[in-house]
Amino acid sequence: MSASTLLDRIWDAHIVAGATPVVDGAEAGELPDLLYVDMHLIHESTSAQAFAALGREGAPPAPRRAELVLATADHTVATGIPLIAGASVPAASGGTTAQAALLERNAAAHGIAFRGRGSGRQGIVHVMAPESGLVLPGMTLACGDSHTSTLGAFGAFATGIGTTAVGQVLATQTMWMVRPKVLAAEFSGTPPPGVEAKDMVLALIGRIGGAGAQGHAIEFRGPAVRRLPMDARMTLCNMAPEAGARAGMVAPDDVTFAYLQGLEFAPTGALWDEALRYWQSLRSDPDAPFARRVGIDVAQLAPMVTWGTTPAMSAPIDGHVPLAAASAAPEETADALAYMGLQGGERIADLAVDVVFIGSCANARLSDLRSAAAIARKGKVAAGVRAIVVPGSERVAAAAEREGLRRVFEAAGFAWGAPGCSMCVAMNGDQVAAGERCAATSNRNFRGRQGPGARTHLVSPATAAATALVGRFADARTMA
Amino acid sequence: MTVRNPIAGTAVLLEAPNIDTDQIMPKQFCLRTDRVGYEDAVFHEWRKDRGSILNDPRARASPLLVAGPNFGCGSSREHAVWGLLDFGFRAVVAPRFGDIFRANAGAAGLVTATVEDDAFAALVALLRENPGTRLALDVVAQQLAIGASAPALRVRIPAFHRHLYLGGHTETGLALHHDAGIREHERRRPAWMPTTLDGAPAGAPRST
Repeated sequence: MSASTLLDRIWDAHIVAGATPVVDGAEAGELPDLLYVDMHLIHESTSAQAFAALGREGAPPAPRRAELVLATADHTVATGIPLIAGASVPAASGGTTAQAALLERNAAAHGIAFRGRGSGRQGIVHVMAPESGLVLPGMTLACGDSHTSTLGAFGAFATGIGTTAVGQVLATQTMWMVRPKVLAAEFSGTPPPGVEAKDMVLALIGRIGGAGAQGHAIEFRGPAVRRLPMDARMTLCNMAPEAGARAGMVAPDDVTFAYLQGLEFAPTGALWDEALRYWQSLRSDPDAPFARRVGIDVAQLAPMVTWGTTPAMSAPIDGHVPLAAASAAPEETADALAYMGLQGGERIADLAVDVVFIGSCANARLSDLRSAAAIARKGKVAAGVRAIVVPGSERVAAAAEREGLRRVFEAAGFAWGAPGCSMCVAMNGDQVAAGERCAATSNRNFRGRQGPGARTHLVSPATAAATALVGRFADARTMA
Repeated sequence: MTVRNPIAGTAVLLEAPNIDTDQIMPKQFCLRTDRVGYEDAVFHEWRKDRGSILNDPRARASPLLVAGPNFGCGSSREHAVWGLLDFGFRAVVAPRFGDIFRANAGAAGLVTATVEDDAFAALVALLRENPGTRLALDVVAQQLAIGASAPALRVRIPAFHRHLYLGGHTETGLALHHDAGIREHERRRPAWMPTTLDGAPAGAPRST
């Protein structure tokens, strides 16, 4: 048998139909397979039109396997944080509550489990699903959201799909997908204190570029990944799409199994033993055919801060904003700097911020909040800075409150919001005003992402907390 | 449905690289729950600039969009594809596309064609010089004809998407043909795979 990657093992176990139809002029590897989807996650902003497609154009009137679908509301739900100056609920929307209510009705009509606010289990879909044990090694998962890649941290194949595909998964529990190539990202060494998973993955994206992993899944490997807890592995996989990847993955190991054992939906007894035996086989062979390998020594890394309008535009905290003329893409760099209100050449540590956002599916799990709180407890939010913490799920919020983390944040001057996507996708009214600079633990710094004219700098939770206290981008290595 | 091939007419040129789906379809329009009527939403912020090529009357009549590398990167929102279709585009030509955008486009009937970098540079130069040049994208032959005389450019359109577009198929329809295979797969699924019906009462997240 030829050597396989982790992706191959999962893929081959889920092919319902091989590459069909046969099309004239198709190249090898160009045609998709029809893959079975073991768990389908849905949220309010990409599912309404998919439900509407049921019963039309030959589609069945009801989902094929309602018990393999999990719904929550995250993109549009209010955090309860007072609107910030200059921001407003997005216009032309028909309101922000209609979608979540519609999803709840659709779920009820079709017998789909819906985790709404107050259920104790609501949250950002990529945060609430794994903490319930519905994401297990060897599974395939799909969701109408690019950051579904997060769930590959469990040794699953998890990918974002569009709304037409959401409709197909509802109707058939399958999706058409071309098998991605695999890029092996090998992380070695021990990171300095204050350097986190976010910094590791921003460094990778900066190295290979925003389209560097297009057509690929990224398998995060190496001793520096093996040492990471699940929360941090999810941060790595969450950011894989920012390098253009279709998925991120980490082979499951004892860290994974220890996390899963005893969770709500994890198998028990003999089924656990059977599953565990299979999960232990889920890894890439030593001579697996990776399309590409990239190596990063994390001992050499510093906390990273993005300065531009793609996640690939980043610099170490002790570095500088680049000069457009000296960059590899002068025109694109100049455009990005103009949008960001930068000249080029500034010290990153000299840039003052107006807003700090700790949240999102990249960095709103319990370990993220612990990391930020460890720094927040050492001071107060700087004058003129508005800092907010939005936990990733109701379970994370409850645990953080039990541990006293909410008290720590509030005593330091951070506002604490109810769980959801909040200021990452900025669909619920939590926005950064035009021209304001925001240090955000989220995953995208595109133009207008946090609101029209908003200037987003992506950072780790530790860097965000340190920055909130100092009022300028601050080095978590000296404060951790 | 009648299949339109070749897709012929003028083109809008947006040559910047990395045009993400947040630019194509700003978030506020993703709060809608219908599938039509996104023509005013597409590139909403960009069109606030009166000088934008998208405000040129010819733009709405152009079936082709020629865009810079990595077009459609970022968010999976299919609303970006719907907006381009509602605006009037039938195909996008670019050196590279975001993977999910491209898959969404294929599923929704927007043709995506890739060109080699040097051919793209030539195409950009030509459209800068003569913005009204007529192009014709042949989905079957995978060729982009330029004007009347220049040699056609070789483009690549994913085979599956050509099959969908030319045959008038939907992905769901094709998947439904495999009902027997789906049942067979379901018989083989391991018993440890979870359903949302299992499970104990809500507990705390595992601290890691």
